[in-house]
Amino acid sequence: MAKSIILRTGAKRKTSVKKSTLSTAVRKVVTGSTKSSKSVSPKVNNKTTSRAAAKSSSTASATKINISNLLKKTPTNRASNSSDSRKVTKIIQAAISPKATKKPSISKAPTKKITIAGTKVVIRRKPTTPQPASKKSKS
Amino acid sequence: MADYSDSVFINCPFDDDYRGLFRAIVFTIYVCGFFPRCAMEEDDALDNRINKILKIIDECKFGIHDISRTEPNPEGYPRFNMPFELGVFFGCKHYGVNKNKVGLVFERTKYSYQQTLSDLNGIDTKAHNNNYENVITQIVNWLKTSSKRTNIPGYQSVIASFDKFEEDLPNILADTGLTIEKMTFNDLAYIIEQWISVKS
Repeated sequence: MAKSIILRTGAKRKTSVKKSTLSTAVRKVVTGSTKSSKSVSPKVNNKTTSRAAAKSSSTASATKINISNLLKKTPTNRASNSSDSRKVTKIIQAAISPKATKKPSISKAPTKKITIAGTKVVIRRKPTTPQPASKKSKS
Repeated sequence: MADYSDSVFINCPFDDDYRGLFRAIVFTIYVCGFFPRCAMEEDDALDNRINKILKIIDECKFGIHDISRTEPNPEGYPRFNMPFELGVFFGCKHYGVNKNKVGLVFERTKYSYQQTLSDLNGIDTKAHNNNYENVITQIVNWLKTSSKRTNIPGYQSVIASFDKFEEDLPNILADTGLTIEKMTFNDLAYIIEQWISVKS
């Protein structure tokens, strides 16, 4: 699952070099091109959660970005992102309680048809449940 | 600036030896979806430094404090700035309007603070051993726990991304006329913002 974060940017911060120069240099190194391939338009976030934030005179900029490309998949987050995690869950469940994944089967009532004095009789035995291995060996 | 609940105050040394760890701290805060603040962000000669610090602490819910560099400088004087700002942060948490502040205290080796700042006894400090991977790991885990946000990435991903950023940074600076030693906090912050935007 791709994670998305809100990139908080300091729109009002003054840099020692022009911001366009810095952003062009970053794009050139990262993408090899000086042209912007996607528009990063920070939206003004006016939500204030505290008195302190309300006091602040400058506006906050927040851009929602998807960081799935930025963050290389590593063993820690790979399991949660793939179907492997479901397999792992099943294996763990089976290891914890082997019987939880399999219901005990109840054998069908065996029947036997015989003919007594020209009359067909169906003999039904009581259904049997599987006995534990230890008991079977004793009997 | 950003909302109170997204802002992280950085209280750390700003010397050359600490620059690598400082970049790791700023980068991690951005990648986790928060906004870094520090005393170096404003260059207003008319406002004194303590006023700036008080204002920033007031506006930040989170605070990262590194008290690992309190040893004497070449002139023989110890540095009290970081412990002092940590004290202000504690005071703000207990007496201020915004009492829901959360702090992370770094030191170089575990419990070394007991030699210099024994009032902190009982506080669970984190040792980074001057290792940027430790710094990133501790910050990611702390932000996850204290903010309860579920979209914060894993620390291994952040370390891998930071390594890539550090590879790109010299080439980025070469085109802008800046150097790692002399670039300002605002330059660094803007470059990180742009790098994350382009990379994502």
